[in-house]
Amino acid sequence: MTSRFRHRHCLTVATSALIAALATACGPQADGTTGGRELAGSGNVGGTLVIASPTGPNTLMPPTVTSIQGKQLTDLIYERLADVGPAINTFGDEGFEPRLATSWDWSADSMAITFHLDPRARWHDGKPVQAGDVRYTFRVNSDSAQSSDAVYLSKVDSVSVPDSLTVTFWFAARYPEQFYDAAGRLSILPAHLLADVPAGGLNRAPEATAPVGSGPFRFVRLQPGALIELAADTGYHLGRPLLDRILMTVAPNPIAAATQLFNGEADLYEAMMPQQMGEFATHPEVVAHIEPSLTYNFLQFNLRDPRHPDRPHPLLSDRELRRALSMLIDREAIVKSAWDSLAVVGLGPFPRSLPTADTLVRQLPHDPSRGGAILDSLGWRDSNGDGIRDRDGQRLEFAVTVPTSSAFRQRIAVLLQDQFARNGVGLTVERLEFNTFLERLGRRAFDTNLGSWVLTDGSPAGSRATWGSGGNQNFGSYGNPLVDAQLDSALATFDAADRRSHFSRAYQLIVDDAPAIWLYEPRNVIGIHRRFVMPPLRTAGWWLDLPRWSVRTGEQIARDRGAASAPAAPVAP
Amino acid sequence: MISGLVSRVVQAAVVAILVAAVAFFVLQAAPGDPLSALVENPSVSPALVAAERARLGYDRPAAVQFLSYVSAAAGGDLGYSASLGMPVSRVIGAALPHTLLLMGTAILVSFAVGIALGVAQAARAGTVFDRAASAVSLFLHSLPEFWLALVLLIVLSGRLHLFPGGGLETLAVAHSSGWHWFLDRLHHLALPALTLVLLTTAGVARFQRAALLEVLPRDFVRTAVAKGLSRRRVVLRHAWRNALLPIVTLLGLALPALVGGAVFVEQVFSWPGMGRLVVTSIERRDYALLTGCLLVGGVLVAAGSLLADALALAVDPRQRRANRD
Amino acid sequence: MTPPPKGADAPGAEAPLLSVTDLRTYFHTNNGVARAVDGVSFTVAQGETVGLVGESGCGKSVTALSLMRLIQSPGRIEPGSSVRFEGTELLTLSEADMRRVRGNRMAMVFQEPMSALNPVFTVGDQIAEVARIHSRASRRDAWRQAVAMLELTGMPAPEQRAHEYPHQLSGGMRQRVLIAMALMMNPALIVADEPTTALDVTIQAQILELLADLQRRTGTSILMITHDLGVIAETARRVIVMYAGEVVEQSAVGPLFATPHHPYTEGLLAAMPRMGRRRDRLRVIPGTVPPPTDWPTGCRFRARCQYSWDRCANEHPPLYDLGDGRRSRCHLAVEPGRRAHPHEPLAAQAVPAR
Repeated sequence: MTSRFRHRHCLTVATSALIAALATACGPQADGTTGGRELAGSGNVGGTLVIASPTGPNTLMPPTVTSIQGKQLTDLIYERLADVGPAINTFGDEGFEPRLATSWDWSADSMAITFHLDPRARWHDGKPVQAGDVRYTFRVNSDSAQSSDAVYLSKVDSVSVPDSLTVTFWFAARYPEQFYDAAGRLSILPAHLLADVPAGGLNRAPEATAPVGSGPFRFVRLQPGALIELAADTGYHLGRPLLDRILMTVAPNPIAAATQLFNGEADLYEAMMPQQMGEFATHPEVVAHIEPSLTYNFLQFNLRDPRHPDRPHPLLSDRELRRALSMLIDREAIVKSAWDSLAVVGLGPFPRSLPTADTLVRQLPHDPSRGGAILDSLGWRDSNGDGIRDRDGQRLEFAVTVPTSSAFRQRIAVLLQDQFARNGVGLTVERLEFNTFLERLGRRAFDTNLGSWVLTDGSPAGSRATWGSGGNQNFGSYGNPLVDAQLDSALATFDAADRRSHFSRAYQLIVDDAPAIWLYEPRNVIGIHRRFVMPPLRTAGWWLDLPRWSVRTGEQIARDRGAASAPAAPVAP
Repeated sequence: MISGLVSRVVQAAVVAILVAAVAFFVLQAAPGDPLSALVENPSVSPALVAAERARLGYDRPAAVQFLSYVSAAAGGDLGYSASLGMPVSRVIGAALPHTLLLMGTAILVSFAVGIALGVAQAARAGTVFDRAASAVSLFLHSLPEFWLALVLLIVLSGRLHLFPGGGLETLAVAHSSGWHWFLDRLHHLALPALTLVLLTTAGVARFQRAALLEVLPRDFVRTAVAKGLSRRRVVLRHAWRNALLPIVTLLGLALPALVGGAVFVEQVFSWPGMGRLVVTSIERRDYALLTGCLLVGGVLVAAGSLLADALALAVDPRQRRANRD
Repeated sequence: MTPPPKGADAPGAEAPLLSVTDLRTYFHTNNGVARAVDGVSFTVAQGETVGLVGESGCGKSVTALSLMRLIQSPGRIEPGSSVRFEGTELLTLSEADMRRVRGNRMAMVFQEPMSALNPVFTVGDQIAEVARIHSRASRRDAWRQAVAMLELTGMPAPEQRAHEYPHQLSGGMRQRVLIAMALMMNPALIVADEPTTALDVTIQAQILELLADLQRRTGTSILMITHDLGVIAETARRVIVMYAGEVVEQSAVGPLFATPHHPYTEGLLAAMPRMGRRRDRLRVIPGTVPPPTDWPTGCRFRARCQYSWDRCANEHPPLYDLGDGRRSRCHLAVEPGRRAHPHEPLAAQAVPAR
């Protein structure tokens, strides 16, 4: 899924995703669907992880979670029927790992999937997880007034419950993401607690702030704006998590959060800034995990006139002009200057870690003289010697809107301004408060903006909404019927190679049309205390394998021991 | 006197409601609402947003929203915070004690130190000590809150490890006794409180110094000396008691901060108080939360100003007669 | 009451209670040195009431404050001055010893009874404080004494009044409070600085009567400082007239009123309101007291004097001894014939002489 304008420290939006998958492109790297596999694996039992987070969750009710913190927590508290796995393959069922379901059967015509629930699965209040819970969850999520996932469930005809441990999803059509929509998208809700909540009241149910799930960690307490504590569910049906406790503490200031990390008060902080990287050298007890992200940032052109959306933009609707402008910009230099090594140059409307990414997409070259020549040939010349090109009395000048909440984007706007100015193009920087920035985007009231997309679950399907004609997140009003056709084909085909080539063609068409200048993909820097042992962090979220984390023998610190909530905490010598 | 107090309370309540109303409508006029971030999120369906808007009443005219808010608030229901996903009363109930603790400590210490410093300066007006103290106070007073907080954090916590880097208490550690728990809370309170004390003490000291310097040449001070009192007794008992009234007024002015909190200090030191709540509510266009904060703030400010009045009565007997009439 | 501290020599019948010699109190300001008190000498005997008169600005209040060493920077009592009180030189006492004199052996009644009282303490508290400081009386004893003292000053309902604050009392009552405060330790000398100026005439008379009565009962000496010769006439036995920081005439009350010697005294007497004379017809001394930073050479009264001649400009007159305890700082003492030739004073313009 994609969400707009995530800042490194500010507002983050994420939920479950549209995932158009390439089932075969990236083979599954983890275990297949061997039912009932122990999740935790080996390692010391015990330990406390303190996460410093820039903000708290907006809610802990899965269908309406919109903040990244809410997603992190509900992913740990609630459980799905199956997990998409490290390969982020959302097509078919390959790579999925059993969670609440031990196994599943496809009907012969692939129009139904039957899940067999793990009889050991329990809600945190001790009640067993039953098929009725799945049916209730489906009902809630298929109501568009209660869940954003309703749109994905529109092709599910019904859910039936043959017995308390068996549940069948009946589909109205056969399509590649069927399995993901049923098994991987929905966090199963406790019907015995929520069934009586009136429609639309879920957010105000007690469980919205004190959730009862069936995942590896159970909710302990919430201090609004300050702290959330989770504890290992020792009765978790796939084996208890190794850590006893997870605390998420809110530290809004990035310097303060880093200080807490390097002081040892916190164990993990995921929003490190480039200028804080030096601290790692003097604090060997904290390890910097530099991970690829699912984010890409760009300068987006508005192809429509901001004052008259029914008319083309007087300057930027011209494809040749946009291509020429792209050639003026030295993206390498900008990335180097703003991010040093913590970002790479963007390639197109996708991050490199996306399974459908095509790193061979032909780029528009950085060639100011060629770009300048195109502008000359279009009639854009500096006729009055003021340093800005003009044509028929109109200056080649436009604005870029930037949210003030992001220091990085403001810096990049200035770098762009400088490079444009050297080639006779005027760029004015318009700094806007974040909500105003969003509002202007929604009204399409801008020339260009510095935007970004975060594909939290690794799905490429959002590109239809962001770059397809008439897409509701296509703020630049770019449209190319050829692109639309390629994206539609890519998301409909069952053939992996076919899908990949459709996506490649779509990406190439988009890059050639230059609806944006693809600036950079930031890398995630996650500082984690070295005493934690963990499997490789997952691209779709470092927290996804938290039940497998443990504390290295002999490196336990005070808070790893005195966990009152762990009944059988190991005694360190 | 009682009727005077009652009218003060009524006045304060009216002011609180007006402030809340102005804030409410200004925020309504600003772009976006608590759900606007969702509008830009392709995975959130417009239907969900519309349903949520209707549920929260954001689709109604602002005036209607405000009236229904006020009538609910009169019944004790402060509404629902869309950005934090829980009732406003619960959010404020959690933040208020933290702010009262931090600001109460800071105000108490800065007034104690500021008064002592101001008296010492006035008693030695014009000396090197006085001038040095004035210069240092002025310097501290002119520092930006955010900057000072960060410098103290980086140096005293990050480099010297004298204090924790924020928060209310050490997490996930069972304290062996109530005393240890208390020390731990104090340790966490120290840096944010110190920042505020450094910033505000100077103002108190300058105020106290000026007030005392104004009193010292008065006739009754000379009378006190003529009675054979020591200079210490003259300054501390006779002059200072008379120089206390402006300080009480200053205290009354400082009390709103007790509720409003210190936005930057709370942010830097991860202190979950009211100041941060107000900022969050504005950033996220959380009308109910902001209005709730302002209402509660207004009520407490009114209470604070009554307290300041009561203190003024205790300090200056002349006001007692004024109130008696 | 505490016994008087033993001085170097016990105050005999001849030794005066207070003996001020060559007192000079200068204010060192940016505009020059203001010689507010410039070589003043006088004595006050045991049980005696001495009046100190002069217009405002002539140095009488500074003299009073100097006796108590209440002069604040930039003022300074110059070296060579002497204030001998009960046989002890006050000007060289340590500050701690001086505190034992103030309010105890020598007390002061100030001019403005409103501003001289501390607004935030009850009057009983302020009176009792004197006893608590000087005789280490308990809180209750000090309070009892304060109430008794208020009663002595004729305060109605003293017990209730003691619990009140200055702003709740009338001007006359406040003055009684100040007097009670001064009398608390039965001092040897009361310095009363314009004690009745701020009061209306009937209260004025009551207060003066009270002071005289108290003096008869306690045997205390009083230095009565005033610009009002009427007050002197009612209370004092001896008068010291000050002008421009100096003593210009000294005399027993009767002879002074009968035959003032110094032209300044003459002018003061002429300006005195008397029965049957309308206030607006009063004769006023032409001109004003010159600024203390800039005393004229020769006779300091010269410009305002109707007899002045060249000698007055050239020679600063000494305090001539005229016998019978009378002294005058005027050359008329040696050239009495000049009195026959008055003329328009140099300073006379606005107010014509009658």
